This record gives sequence, structure tokens and C-alpha cells, in this order.
Amino acid sequence: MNNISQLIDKYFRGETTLEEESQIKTFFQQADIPQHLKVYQPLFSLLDEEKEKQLSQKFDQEIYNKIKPTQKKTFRLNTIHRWSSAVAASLVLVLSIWWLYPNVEQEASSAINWEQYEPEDPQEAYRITRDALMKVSMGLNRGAEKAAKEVGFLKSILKE
Amino acid sequence: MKKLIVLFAMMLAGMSLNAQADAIDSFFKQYIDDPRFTVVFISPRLFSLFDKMDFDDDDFDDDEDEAILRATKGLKGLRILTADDYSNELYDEAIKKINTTDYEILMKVRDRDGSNLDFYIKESAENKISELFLIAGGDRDEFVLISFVGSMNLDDVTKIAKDIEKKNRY
Repeated sequence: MNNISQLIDKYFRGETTLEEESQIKTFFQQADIPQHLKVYQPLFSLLDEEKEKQLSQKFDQEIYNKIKPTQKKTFRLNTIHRWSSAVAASLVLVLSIWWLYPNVEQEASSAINWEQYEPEDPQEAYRITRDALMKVSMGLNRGAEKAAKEVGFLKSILKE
Repeated sequence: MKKLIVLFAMMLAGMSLNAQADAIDSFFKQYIDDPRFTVVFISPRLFSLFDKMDFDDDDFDDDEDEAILRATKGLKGLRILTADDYSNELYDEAIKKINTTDYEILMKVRDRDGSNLDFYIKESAENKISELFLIAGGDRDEFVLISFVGSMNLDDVTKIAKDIEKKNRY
């Protein structure tokens, strides 16, 4: 008996050999165990029981079943994500096209009510347009002429 | 919820984009209620009427008309702002107010007498002009702001004055 108590003490100090440990185990497997050692019985018998336990054949299947629903859920989330980004991308595309190429209707719906500044007579409108175009045309020509003159002037300097 | 936020953000971004597209409006808006200015707008509807107009007026020359019709073909609007006085101040003010991210300077002509003529353009994707913008001011008797919105061909425009010059020579 003393021997067993000493072995247990040694076990808890972590100094037992494998042989001594199996001795302890066999001791606890017997029917009558002294009262003062009964506290240790679950520990040693449990170790054995645990060792005997094995994964059942169905283990893989069970784990898989448990994982499956959550996997399905994340997949669904992904599809929603993908869908929403696709929708967002196409929206951006459509909106940017819409805003980058403003059509005539949009032009008219701008903040200023331009209509009130329109001349009523088309002939008058034509005259105004012609004058404006003339002004622009003459301005552009004059600018180009001046630039040409300057270039000519520079060329003559460089030649001398 | 997330989607809503994204959508809202995109709408805001779109609105600012739209505001940029209306750069010419925001520029004119600063002057439009000012009594010193005369404002004229020629709409696409009026441009389309030019085509059907009967030019029996002696004022109008056939070749000239053709050149003008060609130049106005792609236009979506002509806006003119003129003032008879304050030419110098108005010119300086307008130059400062032009959003240079929207407009690119095409040419600047400054005469010895102190008058200024500036051309700005806005280019669309394929290197085409989508807006031509002229500011004339400085030491001259009037301040003029002209904006042509729509696709323009500069060659067509420069031809107009050349044709008329040629005609006057003979």
C-alpha cells in the first residue's frame, strides 16, 4: 500500500517510468481501493478510458455536416457581395456616361433659365450668331497672323 | 444598408461631376443678374431654324451663310454677355474667375493699345473642341464674353472671316 502512495507521489512529481505508471493504473482497476486513495481513481481510470476512445467511422461525416451550413452561408454572403459590386460597378458606369455626355435636355434643365435671353426673331438670332462667329473668327485669325508675324520676325533675326 | 450608402456616395460624386459640366453656367451665373450686362442666348432650336431660313436680305451673302451654317451645325448653345463700360475691371475679374481645370487657354492676344482678347477651349474625349470661350476686354469700349458650346471645328470658324475678307477685297 505504501508502495502505491509513494508511486503516486512520484507520478505527481513527474518522475515515474512508464512501467510504474502502468502499475498505478492496474492498481486502480481493481475493485477495492483504500479510502484515502479513492480520490485519484477517476484520474487514472479516465486516462485509460480516454485512451480507449477512438474516432467513430461517422466522425468525418458529422464534422462535415456541422461545417456545411456555415459554409453555405458564407458562400451566399459572397454571392451577395459579388452581386452588389457588380451592380455598383454598372451603376457607376451608367451614371458616369450619363454625366460625361450631357444631352440637350440636360443642357436646358440647367440652373439658369436661358430661354428668357433668347431673341424671338430667328433673323435676329442669326445676325447675332453671325456677329459672334465673325468676332471669334477674326480674333482667331488675328492671333494666328500675329503669331506668324512673330515667327517670321524671329526667323529673320536668326538669319542675320 | 451598405449598398444604400454606396449609392448615396455615388450620387454625391455624380452631382459634383454634373456641377463641373455646367462650368459655363456657373460662370455666367455670376453676371447674369447684373444690370450692367446684356445677355443673349441662342438655343439649338434657333440654330436649327437657320437652315430653313429664307435669306432674301441683302445683308446675307450665300457663301457666308454656308460657312456660318457649317460652323453652327454641331452647336448646342451660344451665350453672349456684353457690357458697354468697365471693360478693364470686368476683364481682370473674368480672367480670375475662369476655372483653369475646366478650360484650357487657346490663345491670348494683347494689343499695343491695351485691349485683350483671350480664347479658351474645353476639349472632349477625342481631342475635339466641346466649348469655345472668348473674352474681350481691357482698354476698349466694350467687354464681351462669348461661349460656344457644342462640337466645333476651328477651321470652319477661321474660314468665315477669311471668306469675308476675300469678298471685301474685290
